[in-house]
Amino acid sequence: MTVGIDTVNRFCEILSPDRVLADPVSRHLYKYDGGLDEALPDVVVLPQTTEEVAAVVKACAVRGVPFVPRGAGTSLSGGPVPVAGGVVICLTRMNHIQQIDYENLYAIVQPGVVNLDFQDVLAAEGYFYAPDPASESVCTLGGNVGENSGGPHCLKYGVTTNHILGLEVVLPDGQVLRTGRQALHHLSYDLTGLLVGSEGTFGVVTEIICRIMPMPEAVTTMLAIFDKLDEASQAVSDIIADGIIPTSLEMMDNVMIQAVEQSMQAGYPLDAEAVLIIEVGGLAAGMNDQVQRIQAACRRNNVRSFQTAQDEEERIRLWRGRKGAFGAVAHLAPSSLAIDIAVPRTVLPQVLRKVMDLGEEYNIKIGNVFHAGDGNLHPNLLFDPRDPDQVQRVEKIDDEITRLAVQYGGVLTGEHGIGSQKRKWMTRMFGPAELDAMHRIKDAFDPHGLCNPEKVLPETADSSVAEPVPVSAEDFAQSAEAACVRSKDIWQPYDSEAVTKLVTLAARSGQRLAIRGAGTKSGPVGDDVQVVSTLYLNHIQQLDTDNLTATVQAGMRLSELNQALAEEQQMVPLRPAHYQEATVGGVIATADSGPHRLLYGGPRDLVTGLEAVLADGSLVKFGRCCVKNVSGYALEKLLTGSYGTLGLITEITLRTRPLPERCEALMLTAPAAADFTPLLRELRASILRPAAAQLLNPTAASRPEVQLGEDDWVLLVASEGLAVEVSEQLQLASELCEGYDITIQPLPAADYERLWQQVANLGSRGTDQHYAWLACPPSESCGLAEAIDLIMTETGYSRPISAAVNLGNVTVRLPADEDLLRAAVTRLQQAAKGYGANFSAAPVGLADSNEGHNDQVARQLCARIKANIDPHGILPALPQL
Amino acid sequence: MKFDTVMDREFINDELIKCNQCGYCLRSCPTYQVTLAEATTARGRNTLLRDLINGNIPDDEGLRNPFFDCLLCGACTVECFTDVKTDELMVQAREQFYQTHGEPPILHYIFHKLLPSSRRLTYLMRLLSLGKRTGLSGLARRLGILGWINATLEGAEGLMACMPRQFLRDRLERLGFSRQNHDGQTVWLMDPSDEAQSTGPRVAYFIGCGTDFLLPHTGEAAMKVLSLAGCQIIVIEHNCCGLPPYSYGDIAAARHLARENIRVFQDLGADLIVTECASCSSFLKQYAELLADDPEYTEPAQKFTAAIRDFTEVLAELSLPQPTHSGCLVVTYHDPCHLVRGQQIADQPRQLLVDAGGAQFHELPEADWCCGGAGSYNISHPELSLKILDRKMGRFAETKAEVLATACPACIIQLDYGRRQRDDPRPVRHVAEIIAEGQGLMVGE
Repeated sequence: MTVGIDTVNRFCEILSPDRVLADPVSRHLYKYDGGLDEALPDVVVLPQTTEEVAAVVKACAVRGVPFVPRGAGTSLSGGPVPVAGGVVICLTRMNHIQQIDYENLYAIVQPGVVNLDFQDVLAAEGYFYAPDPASESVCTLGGNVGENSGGPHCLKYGVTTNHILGLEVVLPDGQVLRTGRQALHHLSYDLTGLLVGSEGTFGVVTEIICRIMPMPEAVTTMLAIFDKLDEASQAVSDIIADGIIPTSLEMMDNVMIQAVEQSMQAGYPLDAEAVLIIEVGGLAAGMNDQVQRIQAACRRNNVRSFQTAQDEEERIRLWRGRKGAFGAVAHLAPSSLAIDIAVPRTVLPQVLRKVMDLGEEYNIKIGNVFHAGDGNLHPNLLFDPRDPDQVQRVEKIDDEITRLAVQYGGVLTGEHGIGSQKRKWMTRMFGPAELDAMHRIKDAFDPHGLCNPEKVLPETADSSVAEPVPVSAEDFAQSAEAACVRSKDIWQPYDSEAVTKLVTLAARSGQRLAIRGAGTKSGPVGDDVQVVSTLYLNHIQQLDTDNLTATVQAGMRLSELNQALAEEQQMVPLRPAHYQEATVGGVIATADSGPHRLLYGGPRDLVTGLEAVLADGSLVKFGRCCVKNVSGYALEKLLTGSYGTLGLITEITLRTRPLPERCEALMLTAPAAADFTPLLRELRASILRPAAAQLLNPTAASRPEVQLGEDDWVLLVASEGLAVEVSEQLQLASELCEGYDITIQPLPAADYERLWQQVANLGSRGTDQHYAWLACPPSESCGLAEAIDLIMTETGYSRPISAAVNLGNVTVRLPADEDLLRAAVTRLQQAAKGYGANFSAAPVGLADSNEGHNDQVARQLCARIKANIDPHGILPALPQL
Repeated sequence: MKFDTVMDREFINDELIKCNQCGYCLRSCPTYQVTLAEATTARGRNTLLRDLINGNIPDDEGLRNPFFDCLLCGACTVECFTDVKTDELMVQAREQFYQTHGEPPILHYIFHKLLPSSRRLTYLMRLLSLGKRTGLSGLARRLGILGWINATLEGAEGLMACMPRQFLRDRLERLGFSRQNHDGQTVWLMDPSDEAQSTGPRVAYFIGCGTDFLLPHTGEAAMKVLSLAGCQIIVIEHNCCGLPPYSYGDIAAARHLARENIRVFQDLGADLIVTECASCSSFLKQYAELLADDPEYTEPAQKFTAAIRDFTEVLAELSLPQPTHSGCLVVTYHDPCHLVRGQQIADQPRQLLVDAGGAQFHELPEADWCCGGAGSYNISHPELSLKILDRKMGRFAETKAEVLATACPACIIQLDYGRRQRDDPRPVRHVAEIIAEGQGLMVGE
């Protein structure tokens, strides 16, 4: 018993005594989750507010008592099981939806809100929240954040982390941290990305800001039956290669087919090897086209039968077998264990075959239902837990399957988490350097190890590593030259190994380093700083078009990568500033996304893995070629957008997309920015999803590189995707405009790429320090842009202003002259406040009044992360913001 | 742990092993939804039972609430991938609990002395009815006397708005029954209505305690409707169906009542045994299982069970004239647990409301959620019961229905209480009453 009576009494003061449970029966009720591990807590508390959670955590911190956050307890990896005893903080009673902003597409919810309850509320208004794990009817959104949950819809829409905009977290010392905000983009470490999937080991999430989306206008469900599993897999590849990303691609193998037939007669042939359920969503106008192309892909792969649901009733019928699959298979044995691994989709059929071999070898029946689109596999092992021999064989298979996943380039867990159950296998995927880095991150959040201890990370090995021998400054230059080319005072390593040597030497000599790619964003560096260029690291390591991933070295230019991908009809959907020159490493390190982010996601959403050299010279690799992954902490997210302050990124794996069939844009002009506000409101409420919507003030629009006009405000609206859908989108957008005093003209398709690249440049900071970037609710962006324009005009300097109005980002170049700048500052700050905006980037001084972002707790935490990863300050310092 | 007297150890083992604590049961459990605490979940209750059997937790008072808080509504089993019968497991757990800690004397008296003697029960109910109608019991409650005697009594007193002057059995003659003697057994007989269009089965009517003493007009309506549908109806003296003691884990008392009931019904020559109380009909259908290991009663119990029909079930098979007026009354329907899950009857009552009752039907959201009445749960667990009822009444408030229909007296008492608490003027009525009205039949004192 680690919790004394005084602690229990303290909890009773903080909460009402009926919400503090310390009797034996209650303790037994919070010892489990949906997985196999069990452990008794000493006390269970049921808080209802952030303040209560913070007070409970503080009481634990003061007394050195471990604590574990818990949602509905449906996890399958032991996440909320209190293996070290202590306090279970059960959050089921923090279940209020605080706010839903349909216009700006976000909601603020407490962690105990049940996923499906939230979906039900949204559905009534025609919206949805994309992550839909199988346990959606009971699991909490806080739990989904902890495990970075997926679900059938995540092939198209992404997993939980892609939908979380910000969090409120009680840190292990009881302080309350706020990360992110309602608008997309932030310029400090992506703490949100790091926290999602951290399995409740960094703190207790007490509030969640998440994205919501309007429901697609139309949905079509298809059911395809295949004789051969390989052909079914190939059909999936062909569908995606054709540019279609279905909302669901669910496959069932023969064992499942038989079980389903036995229990509900869904009409599946018993000898079929695979049943594939395909669902597409989008504009009604595009449905026929998509269905025909999917049918053609299935035909090419010898589909035995292909059905399309004609109405809702049929849709339910087609889904019935899949939805009942777990129930059906559950009747075949007293118990079952659902294993969770993810592998590159390309190797899915091979891995599946090996899994079935294991079942035969150990004489355990295995049924497979899996998300065929993203390589996430859930072999279902059927057994009787009363037979110790069977249990042993099941454990053996679990062990072997996990080994198999890593062997084939996959991950230990796609969506269930590491928890207590897979901890012991972390070393299969990560070496000592990676685990050490993860431990350092954990230490930055939880130095005393009280928050959900003994989870995720294996025990620290007694690493009695000898202190590195110091190297003098002269010796640094000499030894570094042996490892790496130096030209014009710039170090130019040609592979990761050279980077490792260089950084190791720098660490030993205390030599500070600056990192440079194409130089499109780097400012000046001091004399005592050595510059490292990534430009020689310019190879494509792997284009796995079937898996929709590309692995490249950091110095590769994004435009070159996309040229190579274009030959495979794919792309990395980023259009950052200086697109032609910018390196992939630079784009990722600065998290620059460009105007199309709402449709495709930004770097944080597209990076699935990366390799980097950390400040001590260790080469580490986080993430893999898998879209779904919760194996260990998401350091790939932390390094993305870290501006090289934590490590030098050497290699990156990115999600690719099929090239859109058509890209087109409209140019709308009006005398004032506010003229667009009602139109944009209508656009947001409609079924239209523009790929980008960028507002330029007259100064920006008249710049020679774009030449879009002289005196008017310009709104560029882009649409990308299937040809039918693009035509329909722009047609509808034009119709919407008719009600307003807005001039409209289509832009030549040939100019599309060049124009958007220039637009991205207009909104970029580049190497210019006199620049401000504000993030506001999208609905406010026109107003904010106009207010800033007015301020600048009155200050005497008309400056270009560019605003991504569907993202809520407004950028402006400020005068370099100090007096003019000072005159503008106060008014800009006031304007920001009036429109609910924050500064994402600004000259020093301007950002100081940035309430949300300059949050003391977040700043201290970022500094601790920096200090733990780069204790000697070898790499660039944290940006001021 | 004993679990060896009446309890089927194998059953418990087989059921418990299937529960892997996945938590999918949380969604449908009314008690969890109002507490959001693990002690009121099916998986939690099962875990405790398993821990108790394995000796991991002390067999003490701490188990009372988790085991007795369950409504036995069976909603978790529907949600469960492996159909774990938590309601049955909790009955077993309760029996075991009472074996260790003793059954409360008042319950023991009710289950073993009062219920097996219909005369004694009726006598007591007459006293209570008198007390209620003269306001004596209300006075006693206000003075705290009832609470001083027993908290259960105090709760029960408040639950009913009033009690009828005449019980259902007092009204048989007026309803058109004639008293006869059949092998020394008193039998009341009523022939099919003159207006009946066809001849229906010969039906022995099972009068539930709730119907007889508290809601006689629902039984009256059901019998009149059956008569109109061509049934010949027989009423005899019999006992409580046994569900109350069974729910409290007093399986021995339930078995005793079951044997008695089988005995009195077996030689009547009835085609079917019918009741409009969903709780009774569902438990009567369980007799075969309940007495499966009693060689003397195995066969009679099977026969008895095979003859049981719920009122809505049998009526759906019979034909009635077109309702006298149609579409005027907007009705919604609450599924009694013992009908929708206990007997898989959901469509029939809805269909009957429209076809036979002439009502316009609006679906009730969460219609199949327990109302919290659950037999005497509203008396034993007033706080939880009220929270559950509150959710139900909130759902009713969302509908535009003029009447809340259901098919079990226990639900009617609970829902009517909820209605009065909220000052909702819209009445709660049995499906049989709405049909009777739709058919132009007069019901009531």
